[in-house]
Amino acid sequence: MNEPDLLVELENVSVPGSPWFDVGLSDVSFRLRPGDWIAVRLEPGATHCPLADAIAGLIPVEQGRLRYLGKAWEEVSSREADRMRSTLGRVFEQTNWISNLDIDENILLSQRYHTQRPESEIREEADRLARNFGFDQLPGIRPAHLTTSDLVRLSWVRALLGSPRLLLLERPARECTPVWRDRLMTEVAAACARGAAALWLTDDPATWAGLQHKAVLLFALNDSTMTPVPKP
Amino acid sequence: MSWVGLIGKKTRGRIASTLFLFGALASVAAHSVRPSYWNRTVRNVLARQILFTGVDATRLISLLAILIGASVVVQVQLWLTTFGQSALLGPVLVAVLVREAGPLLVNIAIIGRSGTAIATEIANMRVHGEIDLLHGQGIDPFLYLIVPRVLAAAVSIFCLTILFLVVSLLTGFAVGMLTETASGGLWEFIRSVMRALRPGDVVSLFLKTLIPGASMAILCSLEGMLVKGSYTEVPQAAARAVVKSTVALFLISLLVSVLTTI
Repeated sequence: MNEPDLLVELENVSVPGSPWFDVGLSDVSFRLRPGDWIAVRLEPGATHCPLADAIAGLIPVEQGRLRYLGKAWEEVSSREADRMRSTLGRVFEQTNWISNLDIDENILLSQRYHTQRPESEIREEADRLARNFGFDQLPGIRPAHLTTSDLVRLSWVRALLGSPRLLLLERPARECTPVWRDRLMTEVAAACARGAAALWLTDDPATWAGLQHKAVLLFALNDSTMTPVPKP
Repeated sequence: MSWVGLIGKKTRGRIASTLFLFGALASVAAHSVRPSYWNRTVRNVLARQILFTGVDATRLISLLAILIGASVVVQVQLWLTTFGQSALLGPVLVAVLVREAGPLLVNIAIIGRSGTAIATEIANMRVHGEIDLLHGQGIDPFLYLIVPRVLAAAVSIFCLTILFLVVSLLTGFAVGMLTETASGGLWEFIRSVMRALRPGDVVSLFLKTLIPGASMAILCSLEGMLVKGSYTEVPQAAARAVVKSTVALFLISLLVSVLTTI
């Protein structure tokens, strides 16, 4: 039965491993409500998993039931699916940037595409988020001219911009120092307090140790199976 | 497979590709007339593409127009004067430049200049996973990447063709005056060209710029989109895009010439 405030619902979802992913999903079930924060520990060497793509409706599930905002992706039109994806904030495991757009254009793109918010308001919010992550303002240069660490922190700005309803964070703290990772955790906690939900995937033991205290639900993904991990 | 079967298979493939092209053009048209699709990012891509395809190409097209004007227009003036047929100057220039050479040359120049750029850019985006990144953010790649490029290419090629015709005709007249092959003044020259223009010529000019321009952008975008994920496919996609766009250009030009002449 659908609960009105349910953001994500996975019921016995299976996604086969494919050349695109290091690992598949088998019989995965969980629910996310506003304020929930799930952390998933990945096996080293199996970091590219289809969980975020499946929740975002970018790949079909082989079996089981997956609903986002109460709707199954295969039941909505492509336009409605795009609108639903606009409520996701995501740090991608692979490509994060359009190379022929400047960083600020990349970060503002989704909000400019999906919303009628004034340009100045979006930029102000993005600048504020960028300052939280160590930038004076949004850089107006191509992604190729920035360091990996800068690009990682800027991908957080894009994920958090526009108060997304669900944060899909695929190993977001890779290539950055513990100070910035802790800052991101603080921002994610604040977003969840405002009513968002978060899914954080990690293979880093130090990040996992931090998540064990912050996240509400803990899972480990081993060989396609997601098993609950008790909180310490 | 027998040779008859092979011919049939190839023919079916060509027909399917042509229908796909028309389907894509119809889809662009359907997207274009819905104001809700024209959000600020799509408008921004349209403006940028007009800048790259149209404004940035004005020098190239002007140079081409000067060279064609200095050779073709002067030749026409010279030979018509020699044979005492100066009254045919307008009709001949309209038939040669306005109906055929102008649109063809501008289209070919833009296929080489912008068509390859569109195909390469989109193919590279495909290889780098940037199309998936757009999908992941709920941004429709067809609406964001293809629709504005198609409209920008069509509008740019039409405007560049007008520029080409004006510059080539004026250059031809100026060179004719300098070499004393032109007879009569500037206004007489302009009047003779304008008098020769028929409604069919204007329709032909529209069709031979807007349709091939849109087809070029669609074909180049789709060739880019069809790249699977290898860098070596990028130049191949660009080459295929140029060949298909050029073939489409000549076929459309031929069809329009026949339809507007009958």
